Amino acid sequence: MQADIELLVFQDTAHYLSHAVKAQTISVKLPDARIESYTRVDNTKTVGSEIKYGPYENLPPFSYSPIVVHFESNQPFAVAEELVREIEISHWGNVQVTEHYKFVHGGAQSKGEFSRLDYQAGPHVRGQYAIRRLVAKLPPRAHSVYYRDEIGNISTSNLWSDSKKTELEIEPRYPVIGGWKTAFTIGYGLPLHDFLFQSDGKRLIGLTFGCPMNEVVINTLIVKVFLPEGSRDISTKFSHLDIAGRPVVVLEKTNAVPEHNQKFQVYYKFNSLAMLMEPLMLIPGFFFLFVAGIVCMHVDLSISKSSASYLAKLQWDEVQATIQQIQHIINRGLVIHDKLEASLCDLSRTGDIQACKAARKAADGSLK
Amino acid sequence: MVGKPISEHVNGGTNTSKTTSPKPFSSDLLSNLSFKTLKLKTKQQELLIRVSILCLVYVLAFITRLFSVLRYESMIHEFDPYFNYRTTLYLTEKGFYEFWNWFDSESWYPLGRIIGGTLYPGLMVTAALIYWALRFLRFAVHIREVCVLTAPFFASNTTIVAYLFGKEIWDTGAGLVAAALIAICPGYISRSVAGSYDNEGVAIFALLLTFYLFVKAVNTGSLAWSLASAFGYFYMVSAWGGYVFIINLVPLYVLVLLITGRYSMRLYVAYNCMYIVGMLLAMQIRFVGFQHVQSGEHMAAMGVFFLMQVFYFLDWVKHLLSDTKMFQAFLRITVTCAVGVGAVALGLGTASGYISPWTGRFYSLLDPTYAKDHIPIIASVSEHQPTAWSSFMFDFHILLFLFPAGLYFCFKRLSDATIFIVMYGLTSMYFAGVMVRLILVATPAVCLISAIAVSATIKNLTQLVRAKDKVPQTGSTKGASSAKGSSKGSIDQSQPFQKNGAIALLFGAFYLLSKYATHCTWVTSEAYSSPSIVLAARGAHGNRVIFDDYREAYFWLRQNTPPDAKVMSWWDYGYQITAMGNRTVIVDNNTWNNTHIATVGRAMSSYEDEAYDIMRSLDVDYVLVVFGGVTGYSSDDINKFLWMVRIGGGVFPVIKEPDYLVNGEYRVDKGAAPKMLNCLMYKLSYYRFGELTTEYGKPPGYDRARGVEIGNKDVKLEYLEEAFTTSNWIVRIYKVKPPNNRW
Repeated sequence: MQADIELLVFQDTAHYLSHAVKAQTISVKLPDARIESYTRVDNTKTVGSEIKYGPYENLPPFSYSPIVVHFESNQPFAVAEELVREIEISHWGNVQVTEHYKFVHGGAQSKGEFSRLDYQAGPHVRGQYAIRRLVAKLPPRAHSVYYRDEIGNISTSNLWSDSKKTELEIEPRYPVIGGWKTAFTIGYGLPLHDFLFQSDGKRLIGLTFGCPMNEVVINTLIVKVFLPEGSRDISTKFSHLDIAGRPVVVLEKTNAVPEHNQKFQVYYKFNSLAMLMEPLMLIPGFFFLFVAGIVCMHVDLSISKSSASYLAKLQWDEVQATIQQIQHIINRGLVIHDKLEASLCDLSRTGDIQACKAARKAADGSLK
Repeated sequence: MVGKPISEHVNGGTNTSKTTSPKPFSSDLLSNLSFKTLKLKTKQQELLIRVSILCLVYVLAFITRLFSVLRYESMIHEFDPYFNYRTTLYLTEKGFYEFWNWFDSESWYPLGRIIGGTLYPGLMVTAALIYWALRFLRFAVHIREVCVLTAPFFASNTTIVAYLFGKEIWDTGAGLVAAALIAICPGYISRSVAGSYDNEGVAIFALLLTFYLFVKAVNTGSLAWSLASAFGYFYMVSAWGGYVFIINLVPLYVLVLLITGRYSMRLYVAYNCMYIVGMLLAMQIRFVGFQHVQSGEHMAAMGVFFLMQVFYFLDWVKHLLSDTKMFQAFLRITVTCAVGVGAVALGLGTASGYISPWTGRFYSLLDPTYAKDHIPIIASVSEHQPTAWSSFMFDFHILLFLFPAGLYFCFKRLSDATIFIVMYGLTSMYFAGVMVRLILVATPAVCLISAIAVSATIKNLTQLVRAKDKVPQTGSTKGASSAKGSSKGSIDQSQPFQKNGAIALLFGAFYLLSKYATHCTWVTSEAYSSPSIVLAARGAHGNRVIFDDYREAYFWLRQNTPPDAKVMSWWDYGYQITAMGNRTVIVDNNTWNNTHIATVGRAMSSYEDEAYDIMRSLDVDYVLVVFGGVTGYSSDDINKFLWMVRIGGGVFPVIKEPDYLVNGEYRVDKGAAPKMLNCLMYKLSYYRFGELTTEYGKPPGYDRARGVEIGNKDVKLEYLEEAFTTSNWIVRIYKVKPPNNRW
């Protein structure tokens, strides 16, 4: 039941396995004092929430004594069955990180109903252990952060950032109780200059290996680094305007825990000019588009040069041109007429015949 | 002395920046040069202005539809688009033949659905082609983005077609106005915002294109245009069931032309070519098949086709016979024979079942009350309701008043083309009145006719204004000239009032049009951009609260149920469950099997034990109900419940509507009918709701959607158990328990 407490089983051996041991004690510390059952071997003591085995002395190698502890724990077990991290490097200044999570609550399977009413009543009242929220610690200056899944954006997330780190708090679409699954994708961009270094002609990119969330165990971790186009082919992924595909470095690891969050580095060679290739490709593309447009506008595509509609079109163009010419001439005539009239006015006012005659002459000249 | 100032005046506007020192001669030369190079021919200027206006309108039509992406996200909206998206995804992944032969076992369990034969593939193929083209050009787009932006893209294309159409029926100005009007008309935007990936998105483009090409064909009598319109018709048939409108409007139009004595060879060529080629092409769509020759809805077109032949024959005979009397007799005999043969053929066809009778949807268009009485499943859809006046006003705004004015102008200058647009406008307005969703079909006609009104009015007004303006303009070239002003003044005096009136009217038109633009933008951003999957509300502090419960539930289904689980829900959510939840559904929005839907309706309205038997027989694993009682979301299953009862009762008479009503009143509180309080839908919606306090100061179990305290607070489930409820209780999913062990 949803309201039940979560009980877990821990299995180990009470003896250190592969070596001869002179003296040994094992203490198992449990989160809660309630212990359902545990294996009793010699010298077993329980103190509160701690079980002590031993001390044992002078054990031969490969001595084996199984112990099983059945205890209560209401911690959520966030297990990523598979995490694929895709890191795409663009020399235009961005590192795009995309992380695809397949998530499961690895704790005890929940039986029976899930009641929203009980869930709303409060997490601590009934000993619930659902995964409600996760915090991803992203590198500083992460930008364009998104959180979505196959069917769209998930609106329950918060982002804080300062100069030291960026923190993304996410809630799954629904509370993940024991045995339930969910899947989502986190993506963010990082400024390239924080991660890319150059050393004697080679470029070096330094990134974190594991998952940015603490308290998450990853069963299969796959890290893919997509280098810019123009290097040795390992495998290929196509992005905007790629022709040959990008080289990819794939790293795989099973059973990764936060302690595996080491830095790793990828060395590669890349000619800076190669990054200009894509814009250069666009230029002739658009050029040809426009040329095609111009050609289309000017080429005469009619099949029959004698068809009525074609002739009509030609005549129409001719008529338009003539009309325009006539209009132009009329306009010029009007202007000249205006000038003449103005000079006549001047004449009637000032009586300066010479000016009027000059104007007349000019008008006659231009009318011809 | 006179020459100089003039040349300087000409320079003044264009050339001051180029010639820093005003030297008369060189500046004169320069000015001539620059003027000639700068000055385009009037034709080119006009072309430049026209093209730039069209480009702006094109961009505007696209970006005004992006509100939904800005407000929410790049996602598919509503119900049907999810099916379209799912099939498009399938098409791009598996290729066309797989898509065409797809038998979908995930819907209509256990019947399944033959997808290729029961859908209009135009939209999916279009989106897939765009996707493949972009992929070929090395743009790494996701198919979802292509689907989301398909409708705005086609809306932009529609503006171009509207321009051409307006140009064809009136003039260039009307075309430009029509393009601008249709770009932002809410009636069209409602179905073509980004994410509204539905058939109508491309179909309106195809509809208008077909009409434009047909009118062009009628105007020119050209076989090429007529063929083009046949292909336009083919695209329309492949995209939307609304093609029936074309295949009935065009014959009607031809008939009107015949009756009004406008029969011509142009019409003969245009209609025959369009009808025959269009019909043959349409038969290639499997969903349509041979309906063009077998269904009653398409018989009008065929009848008119034969009528055209009779007309042509009569024309020929008239040409041969010089005697009018003989021709009159011949005419009478031929017409009688033709009509008789047609009637007999139709009667025989209908009687033998070769010609199928009209479908219910068609009837409900002609008779608005038909669906209510006979087909509850059509009447239950809100977009099939008759249109309210307010929604006309909402969707058309000033176009509603410009429409009659445009009709007036059309009648004043009657031609084949204007007759067509008038008929298109009037018939589609009637249909828009019958069904809300058909406002969409009327929108292009309304925009075009209004554009004629606007364009013609403004043209007249500007002519008036410019007639006066010419005087100061010619005067200005000369400078201040008192003599000329006075000489022209005598002419102007005759109409000073007209001039001012024209200016005032121009301002009025400008005001109205800007109001229209404001209204359209407001409607688009506020009313038509909601995806309806994600609900948004204003919180107490004015902040935006998002209810993403649908996707929460669908994603839960997708992740936490067995892959072969069958989900029963009311048919509204079928497409979404298959597309987002990736699970098999019993019924979905393709309401092809009324009995199946009625079975689900019956299960929902039965007592739990009876419902359990039905659900067992349908292999149901999960039941999904939508419940708005916590959030006050009113379009939930309890409010739709009476339709389930009606549809269920339509097939299974055990379900009787009065059992769920009290004195004809539908209620869920203490006074509700006992059957209502114990039916499956009630139980599933209100399970454990009685323990929840939804609103401060109200008793527990207060239903906020209906504003009452529920009548049955102690709901016990025997055969089902709660599997999941979303954070705002909007979607509740129950698991059907396996049968008890017998021993």
